[in-house]
Amino acid sequence: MDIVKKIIEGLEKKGYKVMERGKIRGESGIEHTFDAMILGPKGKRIAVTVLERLGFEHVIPLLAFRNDCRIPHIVLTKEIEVGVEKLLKNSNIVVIHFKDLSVAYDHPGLREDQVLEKVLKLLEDTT
Amino acid sequence: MEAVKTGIEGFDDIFGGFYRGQIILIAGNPGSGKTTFCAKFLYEGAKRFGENGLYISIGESKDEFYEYMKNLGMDFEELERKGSFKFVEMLTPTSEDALMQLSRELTKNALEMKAARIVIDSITPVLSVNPETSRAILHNALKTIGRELKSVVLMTEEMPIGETKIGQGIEEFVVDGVIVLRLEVPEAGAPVRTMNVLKLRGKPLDRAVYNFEMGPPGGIRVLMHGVEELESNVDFKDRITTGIDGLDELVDGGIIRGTATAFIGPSGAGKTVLMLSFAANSAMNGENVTYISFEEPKQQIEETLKFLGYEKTEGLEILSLNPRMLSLRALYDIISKTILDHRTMLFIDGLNAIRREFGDAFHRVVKDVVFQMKKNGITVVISLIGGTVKETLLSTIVDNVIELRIVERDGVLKREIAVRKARMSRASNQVKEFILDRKPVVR
Repeated sequence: MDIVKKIIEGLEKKGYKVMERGKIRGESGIEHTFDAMILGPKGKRIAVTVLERLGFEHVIPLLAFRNDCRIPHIVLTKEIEVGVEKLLKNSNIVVIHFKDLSVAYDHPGLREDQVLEKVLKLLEDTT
Repeated sequence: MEAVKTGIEGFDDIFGGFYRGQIILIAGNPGSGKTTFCAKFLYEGAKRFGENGLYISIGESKDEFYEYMKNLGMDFEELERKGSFKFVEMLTPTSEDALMQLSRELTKNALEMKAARIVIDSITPVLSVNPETSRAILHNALKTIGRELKSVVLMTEEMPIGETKIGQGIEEFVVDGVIVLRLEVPEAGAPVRTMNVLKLRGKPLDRAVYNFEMGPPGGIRVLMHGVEELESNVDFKDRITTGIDGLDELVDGGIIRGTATAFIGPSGAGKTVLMLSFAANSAMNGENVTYISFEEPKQQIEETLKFLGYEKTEGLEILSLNPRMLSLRALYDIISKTILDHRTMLFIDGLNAIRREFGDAFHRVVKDVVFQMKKNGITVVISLIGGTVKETLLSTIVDNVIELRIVERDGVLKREIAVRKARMSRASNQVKEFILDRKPVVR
């Protein structure tokens, strides 16, 4: 997704290090690969998963990974199945749904800015 | 924490049920009753507590499940029609997609139907293809879902026969409860089902192992045996006369209603005659009596009754049962029928016969029978071959023990009778003569 690339660029411009295909070893010993890993100051990390569509099939794997890795997790998605967010909301998994930012649909630049703003806020809150 | 009743008879009396948001593992070897336990939890949830249930089956077909459960008295088709139950069939997973499949079926359906009770039967194939993340799946994923949906999640796990370890070895540490069901086949007698509660957060576990049984009409029932669960419906002032000359004086005026009495003695001491006379007299006095014999055919018993002078014995139901064909299930069916038929007295002649069949489970069985009867205010009278109370090993189960014996006096064999034990009574400590002359008489 172009928007993701632009967000990554935006984060890097702000001084964050972003690793595409970031890896982290969970408490179970298994190595998880995420679409990106944002590295903040003091070694804080945020996992990023990018999905075209976030559906119910992702709920258990996301919750399982979240527990195994114990780091904040952002899911960027174009589409989200109704009800999924409810199951993830209290689990420190932040879902950023591009459609929610529909006011900016005619202004892609603005939409990217809004997503970036959300991500930065999360980074500030967690780091 | 909000308690959630399982609706399983006995289980809720012992543990009070589960708590909302809990995840409970039901482990056991094949055929141990895991599916029935879970099905009953869902069925009663929908029927009695108005809670929707979701059943995720991995491997078992819906038709088989519905048919089997209907035989056990649970009509899931009806619940499905009403929208309070949904059966989801998942193919046995063979790849890592299993987790995504389970995730989709479970979360989507549970959310749509607002399932307050969820069963995954079984989790074994899913965890076996995702062993590294088992802990995370169980601890966080399913627990979070249970919490968000305010549901109780039961999941079953297969234990191969002879295996003591549960699944991947981590399940028991991360779930809220672990219940292991077993099907034990003793050397003699019917198979015995046991339920071992290894862990149940928020509940004291005074005793870990319980017997349970499966079958219609309830599906599954946990048997509460042991003094701590004993309930009785004894009426101390209400004594039932034996109708046998001299015997009532020996037992302080009669047997207290709702108690259990054992006649013990060697073969030929007169136990059966005494039991039959007591039963027939009681029936004639308006009691509703069931008489079970494990040693004599019904026709023979009826002939003995006629010999004793009882031509009409309305209110006396005689059952002659072959102990070799008697399963624990069948015995409890008879007991249930006795209660349902509002019988006031139950006589069991020749209990030794089932000792041979039930082996080590004999005492558990007798305890359960006696306690069930007492709970329902039914007076129990049993006979056993044995020289002493200790020999019969039932001294703590019954309230009264009346001993019959054969002695030699001046070259003549005589029968004697004495009260060995009589709870709540001032029974005589005399040894009296017991005469079998058409009608039995105590002198």
